[in-house]
Amino acid sequence: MLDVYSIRKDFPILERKINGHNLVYVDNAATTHKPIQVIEAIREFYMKYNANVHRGVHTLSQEASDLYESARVDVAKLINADPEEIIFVKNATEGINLVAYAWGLPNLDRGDIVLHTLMDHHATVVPFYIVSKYKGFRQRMIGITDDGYIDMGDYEDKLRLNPRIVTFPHVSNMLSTVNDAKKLIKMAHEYGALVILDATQSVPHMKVDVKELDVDFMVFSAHKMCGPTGVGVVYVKKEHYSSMNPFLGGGDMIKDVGYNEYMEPTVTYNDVPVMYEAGTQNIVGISVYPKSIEYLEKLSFEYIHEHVRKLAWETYEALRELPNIEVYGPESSRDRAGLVSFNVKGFSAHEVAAYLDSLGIAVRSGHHCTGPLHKRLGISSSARISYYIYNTFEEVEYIVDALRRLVS
Amino acid sequence: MTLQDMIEYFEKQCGDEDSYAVALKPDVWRRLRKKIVGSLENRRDVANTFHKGIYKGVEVSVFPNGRLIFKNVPSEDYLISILNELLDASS
Repeated sequence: MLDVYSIRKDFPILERKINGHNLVYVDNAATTHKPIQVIEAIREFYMKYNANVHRGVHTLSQEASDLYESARVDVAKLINADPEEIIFVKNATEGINLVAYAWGLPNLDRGDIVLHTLMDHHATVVPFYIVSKYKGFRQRMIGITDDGYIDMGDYEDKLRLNPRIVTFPHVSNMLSTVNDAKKLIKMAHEYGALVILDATQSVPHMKVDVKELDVDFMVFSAHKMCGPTGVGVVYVKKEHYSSMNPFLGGGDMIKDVGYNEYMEPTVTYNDVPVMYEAGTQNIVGISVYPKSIEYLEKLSFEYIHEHVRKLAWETYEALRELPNIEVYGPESSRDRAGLVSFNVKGFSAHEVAAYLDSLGIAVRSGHHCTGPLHKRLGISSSARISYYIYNTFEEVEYIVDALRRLVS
Repeated sequence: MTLQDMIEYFEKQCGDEDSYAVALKPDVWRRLRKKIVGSLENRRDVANTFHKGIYKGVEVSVFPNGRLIFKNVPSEDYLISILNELLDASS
């Protein structure tokens, strides 16, 4: 079990009052707060190790490079990957863009199909939409069932179209559905398709093993797991590097740039994964990211998942009992993660969020970058409560009481 | 004071294209709170926390921290014109 009251002491921001009330922060699917250990590590990096990484002879640069590269090793361990399979980017969105351009441009053509699900985040759909305008391939979306699962019949039907690549979220950032990633990936592979797993809502909460899942590409970000903002991770299964081209060009991603006898530039790329990390990266963010991983691993991902799932399930059950509230996603606690999206009849999601904010409760309202999913549900927006390690059952009670007053 | 001087943020709401959130600067809110609430037609109090009503044909929710949510707004220009009026802003 998590000792939540002790954990809360590590998060200075939780001492804030918002509109005269104790802050109840339940917008963790958008970003999480940072423990003092991470905040101090950022300060320490700038105070002691700040320098640009790679190819610096001086001591500071070598120390900064060691921290940067050891972060790659720690992130690889977190998901059971090899360090060279880890590319650092600025966020998960850039990660999907990297795959869409670096793999999509050389491999997708007219006649090809890319499959998404209706529960995909815009960040997986839109990069391929942009690349499709250059390459002429088509995108198709897999439906969902009324109770918030991927429609497996539709999935199988669309796999028969022989898509080249399939994207889906491990955990839906709106429905809370925990998808059976292993099964979905296996099915895609049987039809010859590669898979991009959007793990932004799963890696912060549960142990994710890329080898066990046999996934081809996976993205997630540091800031949703107590780490700094501006750090995203792309996992690329080693064998796919040979069919990819660089995404962004510039410094660090090259071994040599010169010119030939015709005065044409010549370029030799660096080795992977640095070949995909052009220019100065978020050095401090990446170097400090392991502090947040260490913090969460000490708590145990098993306990984290259990804790947030219980908070969300208690919320889900309580809201379902209230009149005029519609709650979305699976009805089985086993298949739900740590968030609850809902609407209150007679109020927009934004009114609900503003009402809760006036009581110190921070929730998100809007389409949560899942426009197609909201359209499928027949709504334009929803309010979303999403929990993390520092949330308490007293907070659940406080939120439910506030919503009870709203609907009465 | 112009509208710009009186407003902390003004944002179209994600997903609901005809909905806007407006946050008033604290001093403006303190000064105009009664007038804003009093200007609402069909006003009702919700959960003893905020007021909901109609102003110039637009649904408005007024929250105790000086945030206003406008729904079913026909156009941004229209919202700006009624905000100017509601807040007695100078042009």
